Amino acid sequence: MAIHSARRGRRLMAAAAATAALALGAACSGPGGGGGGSGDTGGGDATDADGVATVTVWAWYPEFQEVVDVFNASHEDVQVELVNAGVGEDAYAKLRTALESGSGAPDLIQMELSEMPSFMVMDGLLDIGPYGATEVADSYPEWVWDQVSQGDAVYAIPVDAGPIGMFYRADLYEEYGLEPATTWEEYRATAEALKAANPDLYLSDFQVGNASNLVGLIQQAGGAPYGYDFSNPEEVVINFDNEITRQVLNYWGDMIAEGLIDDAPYHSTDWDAGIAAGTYLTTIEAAWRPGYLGNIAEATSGSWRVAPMPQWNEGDDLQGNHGGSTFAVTSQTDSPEAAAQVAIEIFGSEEPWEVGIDKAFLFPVFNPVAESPDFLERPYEFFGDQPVNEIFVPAAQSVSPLSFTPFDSFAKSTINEQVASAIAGEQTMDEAAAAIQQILVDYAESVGMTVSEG
Amino acid sequence: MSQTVAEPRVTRRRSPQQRSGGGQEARRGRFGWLLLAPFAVSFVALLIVPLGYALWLSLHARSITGAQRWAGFENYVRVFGDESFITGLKRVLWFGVLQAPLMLVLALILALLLDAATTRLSRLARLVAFMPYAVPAVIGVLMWGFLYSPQLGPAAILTQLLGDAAPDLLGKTWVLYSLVNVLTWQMTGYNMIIIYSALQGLPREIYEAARLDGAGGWKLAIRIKLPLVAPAVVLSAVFTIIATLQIFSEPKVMQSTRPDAVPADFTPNMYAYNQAFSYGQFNYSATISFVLGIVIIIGSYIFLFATRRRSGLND
Repeated sequence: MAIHSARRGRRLMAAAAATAALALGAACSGPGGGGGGSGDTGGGDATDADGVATVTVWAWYPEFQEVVDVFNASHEDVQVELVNAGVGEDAYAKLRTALESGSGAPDLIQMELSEMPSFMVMDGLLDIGPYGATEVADSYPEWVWDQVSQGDAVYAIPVDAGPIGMFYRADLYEEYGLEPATTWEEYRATAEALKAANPDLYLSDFQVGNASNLVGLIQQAGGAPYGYDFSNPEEVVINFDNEITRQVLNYWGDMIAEGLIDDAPYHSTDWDAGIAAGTYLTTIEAAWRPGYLGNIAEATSGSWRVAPMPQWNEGDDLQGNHGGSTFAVTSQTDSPEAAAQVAIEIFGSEEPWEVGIDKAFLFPVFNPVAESPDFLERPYEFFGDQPVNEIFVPAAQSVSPLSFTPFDSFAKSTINEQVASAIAGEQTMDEAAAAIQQILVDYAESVGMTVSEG
Repeated sequence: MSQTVAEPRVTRRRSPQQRSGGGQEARRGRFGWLLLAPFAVSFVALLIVPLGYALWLSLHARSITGAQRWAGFENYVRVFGDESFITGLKRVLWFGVLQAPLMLVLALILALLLDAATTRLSRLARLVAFMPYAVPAVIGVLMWGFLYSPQLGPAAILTQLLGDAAPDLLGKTWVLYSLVNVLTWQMTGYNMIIIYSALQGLPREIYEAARLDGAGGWKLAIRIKLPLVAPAVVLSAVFTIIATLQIFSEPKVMQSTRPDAVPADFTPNMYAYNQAFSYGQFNYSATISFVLGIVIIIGSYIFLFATRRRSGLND
């Protein structure tokens, strides 16, 4: 008896250990082998015997290898090694793991403005002010530079921005006798007219799950959901539940409920199909988006046009921004000087921008390029040779700076879930706004921050 | 009864003859440890140390800017009051209640059928049934994503027929059941092979004896084969319970195309993943993992205890 139960006990112990190991495995081994694999690509690169410094870079701009080639061809003492560490959230997850574990981060990483506070607060980004970054401040618009710097400390070099415009299918607009709306009221009327003409089509899709774009729409309505300043890293302002936010949420929520606007999620196969097939005649998007739309809907290239975002009040000129990114040197780099040089120079001249603009559809914030007549007057094939920067450049100049919290990933995921739940009819949009506010305040407090609301 | 069997063994081990050869045994013992070393080193480095580190993390907390501080069971208290965790846990339990029996019954039927038939076709059928398991989970889920899409795949026929009344198979209400189907598709063949191998290992004489006693194919399957392969079925069930409670890849992949239907806390493992790698809450994530691990151990134990007569583990 004793032996039998002991034997069974041992077997169960073994099974128990195995199950615990499996359960913990997911948490310990990290995303897609990010922890182990990135060790080889991390900041262990020093200058080699010939005095050539190799800088590893994680980036996901379209066609970025060509930009790297341009850089490597024109530099002898510094060479860039591009590593594909995934797009956006995937790369951030790997960086977060590397920072937490103390090794494995690249020298340089492409980082969206909205994510910077999250990594600055982890001490993950290096101040590259001492390595010449302060000297290039004048090459960038003030609103962008303010977001990457703190006095003389510079935490990233800006690359591109994402002023939002209204992309529309000129051919289909003509077919249904529609005009691009200049106010949101007109936009709604256009959606109604289209629905009456062809019930199978939608004026646009709301892209459930695209919180960053939604924040851009809120920004355009005059809202500023967050306030954060790195000089007081433990204080944050959360102001999501207010009249402006509710107005924007209800505007879209009502149109979705009435069937005027579709609710296929961001990145879903249905959204891609809707854009490719012309089920959606319009999409409100950032200037960099054609770099991705080209892949989804190649056949529609040339049929699109851009108009400024519709306004809430006629005659206003309020704009929104979605995305925009920078190059930041991580705190784990072994060659800070070389990494800073790459950050400053890789998009810091006109040659790389030929690739960046022609092939990757980036919207530069590097003044010498962004302010050049060439850029302003440049025709875009995707937009039927329309010089779309005549719309995006003034839009970028009118954007009001926006702060982001040091927990933006959590904030985005909260917004996405609550808004999706309202669209599914589980709560009203007003309730969603209140819930988002409450969840974000609770979260900020749970990580030890002082929160002011409103 | 067992005690009488146990006694002599214990005494035999302590017999004087063996004690005199103690030096030799010690040497043999050292050699044994040497043979064990490669396993022991990796076991300690890859399992015990990470487990210890995770435990340490779970007992500490950190503010967004501050350093690690001792937190005792603070994180554990938080997990048990965390709606996201509890809801996710209930979801995977419900998932298991639906999926495990469905899949195991299917696997059992398939295995019994393949065991009874010995044509060339049956070998092909075995391969075909096993094939979904060979498809990487990510690709399988992406593929099913297209099949379920209300506008693209076969599910679009439903949309055409029913219009707005058609279920959105990837929507909030249905996505869990769609995943049940995906997992069943993926894992039935695997479990079938486990049961089938057990069936193949049974002595054929029993069948003959049963046939002589007048048992037909049906009776043979129910009365003879089924009880004899019960330990294999129990093993499959334990694997399934563990896999279900840990489900991660499938909903994670589904989330990238349907963030509205699959939130970040859809399953406890996804929740733990997001806490660590999206939100940087490594301490809390370790706590969630630990609690989940304990739940799995308890769940597996309860199941093994409940099926102890069939499990082959206690005789």
